[in-house]
Amino acid sequence: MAGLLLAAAAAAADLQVSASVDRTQVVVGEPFRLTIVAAGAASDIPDPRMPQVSGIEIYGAGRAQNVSIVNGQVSSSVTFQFQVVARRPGRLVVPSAAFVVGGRTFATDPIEVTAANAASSAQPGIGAPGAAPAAPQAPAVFVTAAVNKRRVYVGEQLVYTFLFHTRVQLASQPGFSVPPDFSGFVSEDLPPRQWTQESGYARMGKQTALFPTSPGTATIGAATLQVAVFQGGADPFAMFFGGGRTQALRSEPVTITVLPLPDTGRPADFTGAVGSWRLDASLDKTTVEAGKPVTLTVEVSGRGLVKSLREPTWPEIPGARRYETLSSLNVQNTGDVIQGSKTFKVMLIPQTSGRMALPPVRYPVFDPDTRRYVALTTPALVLRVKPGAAGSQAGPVMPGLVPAAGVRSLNQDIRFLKTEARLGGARAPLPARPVFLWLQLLPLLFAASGAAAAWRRAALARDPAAVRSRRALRTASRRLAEASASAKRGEALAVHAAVQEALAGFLADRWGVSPAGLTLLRIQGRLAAAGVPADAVARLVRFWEDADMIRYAPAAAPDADLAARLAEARTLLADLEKYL
Amino acid sequence: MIAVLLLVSSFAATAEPARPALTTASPDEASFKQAGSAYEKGRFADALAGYERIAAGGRMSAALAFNLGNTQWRLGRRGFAIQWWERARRLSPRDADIRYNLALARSALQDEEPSVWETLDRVLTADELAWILTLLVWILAGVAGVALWRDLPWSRWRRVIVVGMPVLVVASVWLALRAHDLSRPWSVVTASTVEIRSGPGDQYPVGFTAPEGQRVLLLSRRPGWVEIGVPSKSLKGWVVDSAVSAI
Repeated sequence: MAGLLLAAAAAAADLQVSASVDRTQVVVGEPFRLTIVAAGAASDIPDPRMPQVSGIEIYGAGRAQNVSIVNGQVSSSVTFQFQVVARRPGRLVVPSAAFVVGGRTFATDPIEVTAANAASSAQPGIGAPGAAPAAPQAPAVFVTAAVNKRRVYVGEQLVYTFLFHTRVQLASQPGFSVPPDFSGFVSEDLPPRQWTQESGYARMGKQTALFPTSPGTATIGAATLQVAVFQGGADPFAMFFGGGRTQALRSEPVTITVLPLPDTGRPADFTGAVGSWRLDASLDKTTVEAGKPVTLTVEVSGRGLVKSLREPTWPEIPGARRYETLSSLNVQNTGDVIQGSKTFKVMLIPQTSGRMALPPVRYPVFDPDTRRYVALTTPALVLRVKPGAAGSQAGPVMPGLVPAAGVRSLNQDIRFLKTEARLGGARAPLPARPVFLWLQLLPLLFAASGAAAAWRRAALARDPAAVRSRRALRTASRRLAEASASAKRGEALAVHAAVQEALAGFLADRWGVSPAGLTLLRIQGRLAAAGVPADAVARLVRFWEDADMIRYAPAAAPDADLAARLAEARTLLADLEKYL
Repeated sequence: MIAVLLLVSSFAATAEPARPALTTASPDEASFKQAGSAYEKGRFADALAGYERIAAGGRMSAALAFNLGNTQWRLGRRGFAIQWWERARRLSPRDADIRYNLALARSALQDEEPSVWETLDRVLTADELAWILTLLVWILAGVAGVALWRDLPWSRWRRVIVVGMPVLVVASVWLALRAHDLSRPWSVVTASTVEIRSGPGDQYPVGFTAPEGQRVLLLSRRPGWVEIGVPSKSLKGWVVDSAVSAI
């Protein structure tokens, strides 16, 4: 379908344009109507370009657009209305209007009109026939510029009126040498009107609708009007053969206070529409087959800058596909008000049959009269969708291409709710909890302990003597523990042997020698050399000799208290540990 | 070890909702069913109120976040719907329904498609990644510890270490990237198309617009305004703080 719309846009090259006037015999100063029609397969027909020509003034009077979508094909027709005023008698040409679309230019034919002076008009001058005499000191000609409002909101309309006042006849039609500067405003022509005489002056003027674009102080710049007046007004030759004195008349600048739109109450989806608006919505049909297009039209109408109205925010329409929005603009510049409507058409293609409720469309606007935001809302529309024919779908189908059987995707919608809550408390993720750190540290500590064990094994392999010396006390203590177990079983000889071996083993380990080679004499000598106190050496010697006696001459040895022997051995080991 | 400590510290700043633990039936679960019933009858506002009450009580799950997203979607609030579905995806990234809804929402917004890395990254939750990393650490450290204690020859446990270490590094980097992503303040545009200005005030010109539901990164704050970025388009600017909501 989008392809269809694109094709429609491409077909805009076939634009038909025409121009017509409501009459070809016109009166100088009286407006007549120029109508330009452009039609083609496009929705975005631009405004026509028209050159300025002498003797004719052209005022925009509005536009009316009609966009239609028939079976996905877009066509559009725009009628532009202008008010034209002839400013001099004779044969005049309404110029050609040009439309530039897709790089191509489409132009209307020029139209020739014949202008004649009004029957009551004084000849040959222009100006103030029959004007009441003004005060002698009053100027012959002057201009004024005024607005109907000095304080307006951004986007609110005001009317700027430029008036030329004369009490003498003119030698030629006045014209702007410097037009008013409307910077900071969007301007729209207002149609020409007949001005009545006032205080002895005839008046001619031009009105423009202005819409300020930003808050603050805005100034409409001074305009300068060039006008030629007859000298004295009584010279018949000057009146017939032209001439006269040219004057430049300058208007005063006009300052406007532009108020910002209030923040209070501004809807979030407000898009800047300022004015007095109403909103309507309609469907081009209320019953449609699934897969066939239906057009939803939303129209915003009222007073304000119609062409600045933006597309509404479309609500989600369950069960239907929505395609590109086409807009059309209708503007009437009547009286001193810009009014009209902007229509947004969107093509919907229902995907499934049944009753389809189209949600309301919201369109918030700001009404400067009430100084409030108003959320315009369309009524809810209902569409009855009948089951479509098998394989029916919007958009082109290749001739002869039969849709394959199988699963057909008709509509995309979100998945349905979850029914299992599986609720839990709010908890930080695992990596943010201390347990995560410990979970990493524990195995790493285990690996580190393995590494430490391996390191120790390596150290042992490098220096066994040192290791033996370091373990001497532990080895001796273990032997004493074995001796203690033997004592509990009453094995006295085993106890004495173990105790003596524990002491000998301790000394041999510390000195890195074989315990078999240790005699009591050598022990005494090495202990003395190591600085062990004499009393400790003497106690060791006595203990050693007692052990020898018990082991090798038990009959001669007195009965010994095993526990006391073990305690003595531990004391000796502790003493030796201090010095060795 | 250092990598693990870095991971822990980076996750400490993360505010991801927890993966829920299974619990027995509770009043909240009854409220969950009531809200679902309201949804089925088209009373979406009631459903939303019910689900929000449960969440306000400190309870959460992927199903609750998913249903909140659905309800917001039905009420026409795309931004909030995407916000909840993103939360649900963090809790249950492999859930096909959550992924489908998010993809649908993104296609409706003409948002950028997730990259291949994003798609892969979203296969596992942060907790799952953490458990995988923990398992790898236990296996490798356990094998090394036992082998060292028992003085097993290197040739017997080398293969485990050579294969396991690269996997451990990949898992650590993955988890670190996830931690980094979760620590970034992702948000969603929750107002209708918003105008992003070049400074924190209405006097600054509008630089770009972002649709409702657009994922943005919250960069800084000023009273009433936040600075947001759209990394995929290298854009950043200021917007009123009520127009975005954190995921």
